[in-house]
Amino acid sequence: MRKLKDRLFVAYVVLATVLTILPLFHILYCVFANGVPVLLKGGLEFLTGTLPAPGEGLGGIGPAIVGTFVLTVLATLMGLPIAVLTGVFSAEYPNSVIGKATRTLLLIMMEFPTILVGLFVMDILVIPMGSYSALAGALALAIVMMPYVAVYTEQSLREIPSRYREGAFALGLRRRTVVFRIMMNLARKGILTGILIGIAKVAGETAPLLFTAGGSYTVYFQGIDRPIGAIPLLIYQLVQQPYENYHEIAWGASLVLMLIFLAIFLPIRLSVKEVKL
Amino acid sequence: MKAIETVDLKVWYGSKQVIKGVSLSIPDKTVFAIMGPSGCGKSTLLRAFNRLLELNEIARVEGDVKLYGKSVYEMDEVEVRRRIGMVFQMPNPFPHMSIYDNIALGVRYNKLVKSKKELDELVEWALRKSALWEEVKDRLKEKAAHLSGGQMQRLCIARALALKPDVLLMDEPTANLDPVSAGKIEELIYELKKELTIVIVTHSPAQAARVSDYVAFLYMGKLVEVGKTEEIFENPKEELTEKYLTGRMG
Amino acid sequence: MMIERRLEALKSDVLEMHRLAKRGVEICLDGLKGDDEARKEAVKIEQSADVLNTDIDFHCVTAIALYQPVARDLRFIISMMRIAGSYERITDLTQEISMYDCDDEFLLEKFEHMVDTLLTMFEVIERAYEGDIEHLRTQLWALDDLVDRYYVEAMDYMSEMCGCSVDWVLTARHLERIGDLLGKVGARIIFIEEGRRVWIK
Repeated sequence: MRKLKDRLFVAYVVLATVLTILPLFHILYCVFANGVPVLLKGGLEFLTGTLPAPGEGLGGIGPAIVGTFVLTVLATLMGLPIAVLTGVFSAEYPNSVIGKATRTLLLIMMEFPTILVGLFVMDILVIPMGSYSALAGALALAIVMMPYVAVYTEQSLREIPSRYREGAFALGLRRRTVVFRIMMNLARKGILTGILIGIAKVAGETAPLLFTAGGSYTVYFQGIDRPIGAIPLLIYQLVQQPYENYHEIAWGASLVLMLIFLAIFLPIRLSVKEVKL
Repeated sequence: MKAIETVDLKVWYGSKQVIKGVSLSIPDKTVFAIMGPSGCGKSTLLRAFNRLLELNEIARVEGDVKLYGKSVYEMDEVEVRRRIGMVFQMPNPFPHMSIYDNIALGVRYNKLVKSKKELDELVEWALRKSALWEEVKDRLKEKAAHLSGGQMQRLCIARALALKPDVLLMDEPTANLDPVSAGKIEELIYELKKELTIVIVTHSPAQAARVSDYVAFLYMGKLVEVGKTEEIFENPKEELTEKYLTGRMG
Repeated sequence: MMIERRLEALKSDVLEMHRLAKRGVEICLDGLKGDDEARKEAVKIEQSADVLNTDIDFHCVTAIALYQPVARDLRFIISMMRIAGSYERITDLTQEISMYDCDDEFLLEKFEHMVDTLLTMFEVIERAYEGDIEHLRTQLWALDDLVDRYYVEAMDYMSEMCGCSVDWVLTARHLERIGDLLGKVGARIIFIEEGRRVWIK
């Protein structure tokens, strides 16, 4: 009787696991099934060309790919230094009022509706500038990315055994040397993971870009004060159009986005050199 | 001139008083052991000497600690920590740095050498002094993480010695080592005391007996008895000390 | 506590040696006067003391090896080893005395006095084992002085004689020696209790 219960329990757990993972596999399957033919049909042109007129074939999503790349790089440049330093501050002064407040605020920011971030940036940048821009889009993405990087940085620093910190100070090193030469190095796996996760997340974000980046798919990058496109934004915009070829392009773009996504996340798990503590 | 002197030293962690008015003098160029049961404040006392206690936000110190007559609170804390080196219970060489760099870091930072050649010589000197040179001379560029526990601890000693300190603090340095490695470190201590003052915290009275010239018995943050090791171990004056030494405490 | 039990066992062994030594002193003069039973007993006492001393030695060394004792425990163990050795020596000497022959009235009387004084010393030491060491040193010193005085009187007497036996000289010598040995035992008891090294001779 107990053996039966045991088997039932195992079966239940397996079933629950399958149900949890199923959507992921389904998404993967759909995207691949619908996207691969598009890519095969479009060929390399699909990755380098520009958006065609409705009904005129596949063209390409080149500007969107470049746009995603530009936005991500800009966002990283803008947000990374601040985020890492915030994480460091939070880890070094955990009991100060600002430290405690920072940690709480960061956690709230992680869950913040990203569309509101977009609205905020629209308010302070897009409207005064008078147009959508890569700068605005990147800023919105940076704001979304920062809490992840900061929190991961803080966690990784906290996890370092205190004896290394003590040892560094005992050598007569000052705080900034201890933190930047010793602690950051020891925590590098965690920090890099945080950075990559932040990047991967914003590469696939749509809502922050809705009112900031604007979208630009017929011409390539025109300057950071001009509108710019991104793959998720493109998919959003194309799906709403009634044209068949646009829907195909959307599937193709989805596949490209998925591949980029996997290309970042799989290596995270494998290649960042672990510091043996 | 006493190497280290504490004057009515009191330490609180938040509202809990951990060190209750300790006044002791550590003679120059001797091995001074501080022994006592777990939680009696030995490690805290040690960290008051090189001001490492300040890293703890809730620690508060009253009273004074003097290094060769001068209060450590009147000195720059970097200077204090260079002159009073420390070796910890769990060996903590920086694992991402090479053996060479582990020693070189503190030296470069404290500007103790003027050229690469001087640095090389100092690194070799430090490794020889800590009886590690022969074992690592061909692999100075290897990461410190690849060493065994006993070697790591000797590297930490070398790292501290390279700064040419006056005093070396050792917080239960052999607690996590196998007996053979522990024995090597004890021999090292015996050799080093000719050149500097060593303060060693130990939870093993037997170790205090083996290595030290003077020993202090700390109990619940209070200094119970202090004196020459031979005298304390043959005929302690305080009953509490006797109880601790003969294992009849608690 | 494991070491406590060992120390208790050691103490009772040493007390047994104390009794053997004391008995040896009690009967040695009977043997000297020719009592065969006394002589046989003296021999047995010496043999038992030998064995017991070896045992005590062994137990002490083991205790040191296993427990690495310090402070009072260490002083206790080391002292017990040496006290046992003193008692064993005493039984050697009493056996020898009992094997000798003496019929000189004067000497026998002197020897009786010496033995009585020695037995008093044994009693003082017994009280010391129970904790009464306040006057241990002064008492033992005085008693040993007394034994020495009798010894000198006996030796003076014998040096005036033209035909005295070597046995008689040796008997006097041994009895004086036993006094010294008991003084040493007392000194070691003081060392255990107070950690001071003293002379008692």
